[in-house]
Parts: sequence; C-alpha cells; structure tokens
Amino acid sequence: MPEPARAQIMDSSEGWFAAVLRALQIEGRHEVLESYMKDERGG
Amino acid sequence: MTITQIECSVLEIPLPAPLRPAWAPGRGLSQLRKMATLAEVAFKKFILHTWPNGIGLGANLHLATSLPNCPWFAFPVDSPSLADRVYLAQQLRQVAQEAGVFLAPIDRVYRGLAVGSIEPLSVPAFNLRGLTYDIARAIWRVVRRTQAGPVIFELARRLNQAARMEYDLAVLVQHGASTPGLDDLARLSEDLTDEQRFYQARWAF
Repeated sequence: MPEPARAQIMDSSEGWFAAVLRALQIEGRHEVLESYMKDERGG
Repeated sequence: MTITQIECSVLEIPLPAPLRPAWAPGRGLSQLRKMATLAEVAFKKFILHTWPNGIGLGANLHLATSLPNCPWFAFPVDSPSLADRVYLAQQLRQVAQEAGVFLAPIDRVYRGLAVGSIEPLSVPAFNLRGLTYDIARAIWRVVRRTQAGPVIFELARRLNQAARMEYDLAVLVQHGASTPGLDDLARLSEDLTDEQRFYQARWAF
C-alpha cells in the first residue's frame, strides 16, 4: 500500500476512533491508567 | 510429461496478465521452455518464479535469461526463522519499554470497577485484523491527544501464519504507542504488510 494511501487511512480512522472514545465518555480518563497500571511498568 | 491441455488453453485467454508458471521437478524446465514459446507467439509475458533452493534458483535464472518474453523474475524472500522472530520481538519489546511503553493486563481496572474504586468506565476493544501497526498508532495518537482511559487491542493471526504471531502483533501494537515508533527505527516505507513491516524492523538492530 503506497504511503499516501496509508496516511489517508490513518487520518480517517483517527476521526472514527476519536468519535468512539467521545461516545464512550472516556476522554480525560487517563488517570485510570496512571493509578492502576504504573506498577506494571517495565514488566 | 508434456504440456497439458489446460496450460495450452490458458494461452487463449485474452488477458494482458503474464503467465506465471510454477516450476516443479515433475514438469521440468524443458516443458516450461515449450510453454514460454507458446506464450511468446500469443504475445504474453512468461514470468518465472522459484523458491525451493539455490539449485532451483540457478536453473530458473538460467531459463529466464534465455527467454525473450521473461522480463522479470519473481524471487520471494523467506521469512526469518522462528528463533529470529522471537529474538527480534524481544529486542523490539525492550526498545519500546525503554521508551516508556509497556504491556499491562486490564484485570486491575476491571477489579477496580467491580469494587467501586473506579468510577464507571467503558473499555473499548479494538479488533485489529490488518495494518496492525498503523491502526494501533492511529488509536494511540487519539488516546494520547484526548488523555483517554484504557483501551484493549484484540489481535488475531491469519490461519496460515506461524505460531507466536500474536506475540509479534502485540509488539507492533506496543511500538505503535511509542514515539518514535517502528517508522523511525527501521526506516520503514510503503507497501508493507504487518509481517513484512515486522521483519523489516530487523534492520534497526
């Protein structure tokens, strides 16, 4: 797949993924990862 | 053994696509040479390909260079051995971890949700069935930009792929989250499948 086509897919899919995260209302919930996953770092 | 009727009838197909005969010891290069001649009078290209061993490659190259209608030669590059892949995956994983990207189970979050220590939260699962690295990278960009909560990547190898391919794919997802990712590490370019992209990364080490 040529790079321009690949980039176009990535750009369009980013919009779709952003809509999914927005619909699920998990934007800004990064603290969950920070508080529950930090012990896994390096594992 | 002679050229089959099926093979001759292929020459009558009015398509510009070249013929790509598979060499086999039972058929023999002499029969391929006859087919190439028939293809030539039908104005068709005759593209040889081979992968069995060095002797087969040499024989096919010899034949290819003697044919006026064989402008190309297909030679597949074998995948690395399983040991090479495991080593490569371990190296890539180490690089990703040094960049601060690590894998983690989701069960802690689920336990937190179960006991109420985490406010209700949906965890989306993205099924990646192709372009694994690129799709993962796109998702990670969105997650990073929006400071979103955890996401799950569901991976599946194709049926014809070797064992441990899930591990390889997991490394691709891991690298999709790192900056720089594999693109910069291996100077990866266009037209690569996930598997090729993974194998290409070996040049980074």
